[in-house]
Amino acid sequence: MRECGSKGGILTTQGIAKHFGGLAALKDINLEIERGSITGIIGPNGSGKTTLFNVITGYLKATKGNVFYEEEKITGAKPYEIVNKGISRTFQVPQCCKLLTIRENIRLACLRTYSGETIEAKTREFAAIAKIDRHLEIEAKNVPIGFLRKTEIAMALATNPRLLLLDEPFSGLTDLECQEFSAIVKGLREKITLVVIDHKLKHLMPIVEKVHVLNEGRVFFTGSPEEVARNRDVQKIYIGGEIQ
Amino acid sequence: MGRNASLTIKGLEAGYGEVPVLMGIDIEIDENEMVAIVGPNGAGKSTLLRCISGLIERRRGEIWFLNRKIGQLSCDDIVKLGIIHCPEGGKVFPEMNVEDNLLIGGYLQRKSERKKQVDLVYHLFPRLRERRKQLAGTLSGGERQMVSLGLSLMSKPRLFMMDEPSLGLAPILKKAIFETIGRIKREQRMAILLVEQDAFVALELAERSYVLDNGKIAMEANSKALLEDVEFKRIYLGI
Repeated sequence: MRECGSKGGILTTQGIAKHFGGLAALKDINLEIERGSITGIIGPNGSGKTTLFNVITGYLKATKGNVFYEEEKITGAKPYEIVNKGISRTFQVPQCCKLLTIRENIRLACLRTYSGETIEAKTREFAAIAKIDRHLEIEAKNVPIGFLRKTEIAMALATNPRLLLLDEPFSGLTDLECQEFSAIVKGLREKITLVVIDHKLKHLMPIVEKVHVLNEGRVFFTGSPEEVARNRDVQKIYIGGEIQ
Repeated sequence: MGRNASLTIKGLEAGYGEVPVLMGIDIEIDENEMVAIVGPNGAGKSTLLRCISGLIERRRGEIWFLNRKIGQLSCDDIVKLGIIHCPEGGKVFPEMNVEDNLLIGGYLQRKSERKKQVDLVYHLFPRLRERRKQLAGTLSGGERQMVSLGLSLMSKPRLFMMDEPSLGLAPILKKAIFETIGRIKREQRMAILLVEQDAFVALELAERSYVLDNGKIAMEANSKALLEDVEFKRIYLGI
């Protein structure tokens, strides 16, 4: 099992490709995520960002290539097996159970890890960390997207992850709400490794150390937030001018 | 002033189950005016649009459209009057191609009129002409949003309500979408009600804006004035 890269990496992808029929959504993705870091992934709509998350978390099977987590090959493992190994995620379109309340959704996620009286305490604890504890009794179908994003964070935390993948956590939030969310993410960072996909560069860039830019299924550019913001090619394909 | 009201809402209350969401809303939009509604998550922005388009029942209050009470009408009757609601998240018919999506949107129009509207949508979104035979479900997020807006335009709205048209779009596409919304505003005669979480963009486009907070109108002002308002900047933009 010495195929993977340096020891600093908690997650490594090697030559990942994913084809949907004739469409190559991912072509040869090689990434290493450092332990204890926050990494950003940006890129145009359709560049393969969510597909990459889906491959890493076992929702999609890679056409080619391998994923290593903590030096172990996890390519092809089922989503629940991957959660058991310590990788959790949130979704671009929140995947809460619509007919359950926010509390019941978080509780459901807690059932996997906790038992007995701890379930209720943990439900409350994660709701508080995600700052959704004031809206626990509303059915998920009746709450706005911003609340569902927080609910998903609480649900993801309930699985005790060491690596957390967030898919567009800032989408649908106002500037002030984005700032609150940034504080939540920074708080998590002390304990776990995070990878964040988002288009809201104003809010993403200040919280990440490194950014991978995807374009047409490939890693187009990798650098610090400053390097990415300065790069003319990134501005051209993705930002459409200078970053505001 | 010579104002011609398109939409007038008085004391509107609505909610889900026991949870009240809108608690006495008063809003007015003139014909050919663009109004933005901004506010935090949970303020009631989408609920307000759903209430106007008849998707959920109001509990109290009046909704007037072109001098006619519409609070009791069904969704389809409201659409026939010319109120079109483009929901959040680029909703399209994924198994149908782009052009068929547009044609569905024009089901109220005569055939010749439908053709004209399709051309108008292609004129506003040239990308869609290139993709006309592609299944909508296989489009990128930005293209789906274009189809969703185009589908809404097909029925020649007199009041066009857009819910978060920039949700999940890359910066470059977001610019493109808002440029087109600006064009729709300049070139088409209709009232526009824009719900958007990016307050900067929304307030730049709309003449007037309402800030919705906790089911109530917290502020109503000329957009320029609002962008300068210290209280607004602190509470809403976090600066």
